[in-house]
Amino acid sequence: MTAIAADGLSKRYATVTALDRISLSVEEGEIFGFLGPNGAGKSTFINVLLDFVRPTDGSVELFGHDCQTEGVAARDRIGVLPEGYSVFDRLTGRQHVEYARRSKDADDDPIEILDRVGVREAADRPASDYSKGMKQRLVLGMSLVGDPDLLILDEPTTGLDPNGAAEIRSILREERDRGAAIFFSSHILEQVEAICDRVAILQDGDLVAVDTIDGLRQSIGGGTKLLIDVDGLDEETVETVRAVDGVETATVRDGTTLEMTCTNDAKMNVVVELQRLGADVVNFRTEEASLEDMFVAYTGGGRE
Amino acid sequence: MSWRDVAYKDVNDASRSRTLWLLFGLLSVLFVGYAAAYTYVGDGTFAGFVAGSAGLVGGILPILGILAGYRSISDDRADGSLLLSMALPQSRTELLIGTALGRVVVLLVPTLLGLSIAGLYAALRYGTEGAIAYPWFLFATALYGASFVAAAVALSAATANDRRLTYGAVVGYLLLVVLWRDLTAFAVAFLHRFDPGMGMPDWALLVQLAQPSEAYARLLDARFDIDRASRYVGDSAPAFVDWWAALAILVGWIAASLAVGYRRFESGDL
Repeated sequence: MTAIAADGLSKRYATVTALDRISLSVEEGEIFGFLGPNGAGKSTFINVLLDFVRPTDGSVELFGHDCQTEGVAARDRIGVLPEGYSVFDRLTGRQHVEYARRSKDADDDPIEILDRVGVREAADRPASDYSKGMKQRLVLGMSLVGDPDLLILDEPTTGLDPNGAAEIRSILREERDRGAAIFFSSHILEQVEAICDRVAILQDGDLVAVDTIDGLRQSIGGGTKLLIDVDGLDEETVETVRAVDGVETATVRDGTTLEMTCTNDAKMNVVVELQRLGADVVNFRTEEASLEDMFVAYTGGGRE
Repeated sequence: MSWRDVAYKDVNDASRSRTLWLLFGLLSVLFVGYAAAYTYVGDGTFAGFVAGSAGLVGGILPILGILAGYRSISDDRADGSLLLSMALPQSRTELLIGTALGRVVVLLVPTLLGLSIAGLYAALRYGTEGAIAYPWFLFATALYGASFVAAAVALSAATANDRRLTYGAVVGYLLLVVLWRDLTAFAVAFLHRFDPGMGMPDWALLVQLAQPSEAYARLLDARFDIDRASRYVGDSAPAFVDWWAALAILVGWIAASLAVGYRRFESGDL
């Protein structure tokens, strides 16, 4: 069964279109990364899934239940880490998990959950005393209650150090191995690359790509990045190279290396162009494109 | 039945609040203090003590009820903890009902405990005549307090705007508690072109009785002989001055305000 099925989902505010006819589906058991610069509409999409926000057009279902008309049923099999939440000031960590457990009618042991996300020793302290990272772990813990079939996580590693982020990734892998689908948004590309089966890239409310990471690689320059060491590289040269047909991105690395993604056909043209400009090509190699390169290629701008 | 989980969470949250314990202490001191001081200010009967306590409750419960509820949902909405609640499989209706229930419990537990202690003390001191109806007094008080909490929680669900909440709470209090009677009287006088000879029409009486504190007084009048409400009693009095009508009015206040709050809460983005 399809975990998430969005059909022509749009959300317009008075002056901005936050989501523009988004259609996508997430299958059971896959880890799906939702990428985009800040303000691209990632959180709006997630907020529609959770019925915090009502769509202007289109619809979306979780496990066949419409998120707006059957919201309770739609949220019955999911665990959520929303964006912009705050904890209940006076409740302890244990009481937070207890709240989720009661509402979901589950029988998890709150302490086991807190242990899993690494805040067991703080179980009986008010959650308002927790650090940002601990709050994030606590809410992740709440989302794990009742072994949900789908986890929806909005920027799950915010506020965590690299170790914490790695721990969370390993929890997500455990959940996936258990059979849960995971849908998470992020602007931290390394994390997405490390665990996602498929990714979607959202920009200004438009879905610009949905594919596996390999698939994305294939669609830009055969998945490779061209690195050309040039003597006396100047801005003018770079501009000229950018203008060559088939070149998607061209940037300068370390002052002397021209880094670019382009279609296979364009590679030779670039070298010819460099020769014509009288630039001295010292070395020429290829490298597998990283997700970041692809992201830049798709969104036409730097990551934020 | 998620509204119960919401209420349980809400009570848990409040029970760790120092303000609540302070409130509990103050109410106990106030009610028991009144029971003790009643020797000097009243006629020394239990019924008179109940009448005095009812006056006290009638004055402070609206304020406490509004304070307990008017920022409940809006605060959670403003700081984002509402998102944690609404990410769970529970509806906005359940959240509204659960929050109202939680706040009612938070207000009424200290109030009723304080009144119970005071009642016990008064029964020992002023005799038990009429004490058999004391639970009815507690019941009426509970309903009266709940009507203000429900209205306040509904307000907090209807808007998250700080200024509107404050105005809403103040205007609500003035209208429901302070000005209702005067406004009704003025409306009647205006419609009768300021001719006092035309008396009070039945509809105006009904409007007056629709005020929560008036309904509360009518409920008490059903079991205690309290002067305050007896002005309606007469052979020609319409049926709606009966105690069951007062009961219906308080229940109606609770249901109607929650319904209005729900309509606003349900339609918006969080």
